[in-house]
Amino acid sequence: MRNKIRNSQKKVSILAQAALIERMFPETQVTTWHGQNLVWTHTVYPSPLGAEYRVRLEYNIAEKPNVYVIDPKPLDLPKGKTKLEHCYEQKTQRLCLYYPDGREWNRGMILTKTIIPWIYEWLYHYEIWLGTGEWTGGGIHLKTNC
Amino acid sequence: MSSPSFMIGNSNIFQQKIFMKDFTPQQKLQFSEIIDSLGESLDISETQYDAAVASYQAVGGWLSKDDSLLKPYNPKIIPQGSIVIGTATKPINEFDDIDLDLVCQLSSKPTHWTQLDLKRIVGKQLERHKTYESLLDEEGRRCWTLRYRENSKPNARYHMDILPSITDSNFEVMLERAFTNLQEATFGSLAIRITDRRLKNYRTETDVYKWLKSNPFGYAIWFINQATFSTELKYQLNELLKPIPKYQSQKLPLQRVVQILKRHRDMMFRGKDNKPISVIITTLAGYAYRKETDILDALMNVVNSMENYIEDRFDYEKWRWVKYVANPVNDEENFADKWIETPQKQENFYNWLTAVKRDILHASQQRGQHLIMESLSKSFGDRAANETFTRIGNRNKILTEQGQNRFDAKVGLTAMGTSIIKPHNFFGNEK
Repeated sequence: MRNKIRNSQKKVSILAQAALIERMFPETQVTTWHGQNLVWTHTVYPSPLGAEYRVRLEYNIAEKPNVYVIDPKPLDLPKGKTKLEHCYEQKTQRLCLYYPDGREWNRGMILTKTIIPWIYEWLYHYEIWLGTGEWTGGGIHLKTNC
Repeated sequence: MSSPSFMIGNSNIFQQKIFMKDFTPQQKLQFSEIIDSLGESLDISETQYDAAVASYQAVGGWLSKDDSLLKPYNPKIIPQGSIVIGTATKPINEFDDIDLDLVCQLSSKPTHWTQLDLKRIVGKQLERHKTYESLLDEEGRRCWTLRYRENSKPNARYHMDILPSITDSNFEVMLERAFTNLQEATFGSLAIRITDRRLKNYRTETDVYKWLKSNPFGYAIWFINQATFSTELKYQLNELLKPIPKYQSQKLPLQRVVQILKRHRDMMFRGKDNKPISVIITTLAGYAYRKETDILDALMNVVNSMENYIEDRFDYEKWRWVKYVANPVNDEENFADKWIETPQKQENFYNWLTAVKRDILHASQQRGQHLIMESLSKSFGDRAANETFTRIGNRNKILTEQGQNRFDAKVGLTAMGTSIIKPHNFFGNEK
């Protein structure tokens, strides 16, 4: 079932993804390699009164996109917490933005309509979590690694 | 060196207005949502409200039951003050008492009764109840105070001020009519007569028309008229006259503003004397409010202009100029009359007003919701700030789930954004 969904989607090429990012963020540049990889680094404000965060998006067409918060590093934690919520790797601050069953994100989807707004949203809820200690962004926690 | 009174008299010259002129429209919208949510966090909950109603009705039932000493005079217990005008706030600490102001009104009295007789008989009937007797506080100037508790309900703790009063026999009908139509023309007829231990005629005067006049219900109508817009459904002031009054969760911007100001006062003067009293804050806010529909606009206007409604009037008894906060339904009553004998109260009011402006400005200047929360925690309490942002976060999550959350590439998540955020689930745990 999962493969069926993935295969039924046409891929959006790396160059098309890069062009769409540059259209949404005219002041930034997306670096691409041979139509296989893209890397985009950008300064993000999760909301009009949000703080400033530097994030990097890496995407190899054969793999899942990876998103890292590169500044601040490490991100502050609320009192009594030892690790970030919804994060694949605490050290690199790689974010878990979607449920990996191929429905929320697959190669047929556009980064600027999925992954990128979700980065903002993660940071938005991160700020509230940092203040209250309670994660209000929802999501799914599994015992297994993702 | 200048005398203290000189300094106080001029302290308002240094009052400054605050503006949020550096805000973009999106920032203003977000800060307004935060302030609105803060107001919601300060409001007493429906459970607290229902419990408060049940408790004062229990007291009312005791005062009016068949063998009550008051029975021949048709006693009624009616709430007054913040619970009526929708500006009641939670206490800072969860288990602190909630203030509940009640009028105990009799529709007639024996002609020979003085103020003392009325005060005493209400006190006596309260004392006949074994539990109430032990909850009775020292006798107040105008009120009896019950430190009301119910063992079965640990959160039902009230500081109940019960004000003995005399009204006309058709008072109830008039009150019901006035609360329904919110007619200001009927202000005068809603006045009640009360007792005051400090008056010279307390033990002698039997003519109620020579007793002190008070008009808590006229005041309530004035406040709600200040708060409402003609086009919208009025706040249901008559709700509290019903046998089982319903909680009204939707509040008007002016009500929220007053709740926010009162909590700031509570925090600033925790454990201290001479704090600015609620009726002064509420009245000045009511005078200053210009029917702003946005709560932030309302709050900014109120804090910037409320002091303009403190008048300077010449007091012929004291032969000096005094600060005057006129009761909107009785111009002869100065809510700030105690500032004359205790100048510290006046100074505290102006200090508080300066602080509230400074603290709102400080919160608005933070970048990062966690830092705004930290700022609000200091001036409005940890619990309120926490609840404010938890509510905002939860609302935001629901918007995303419903495919209605918006974002803008430049400024992030905002209702003014051009693109929709696709529903998804944050996932997983770390490796």
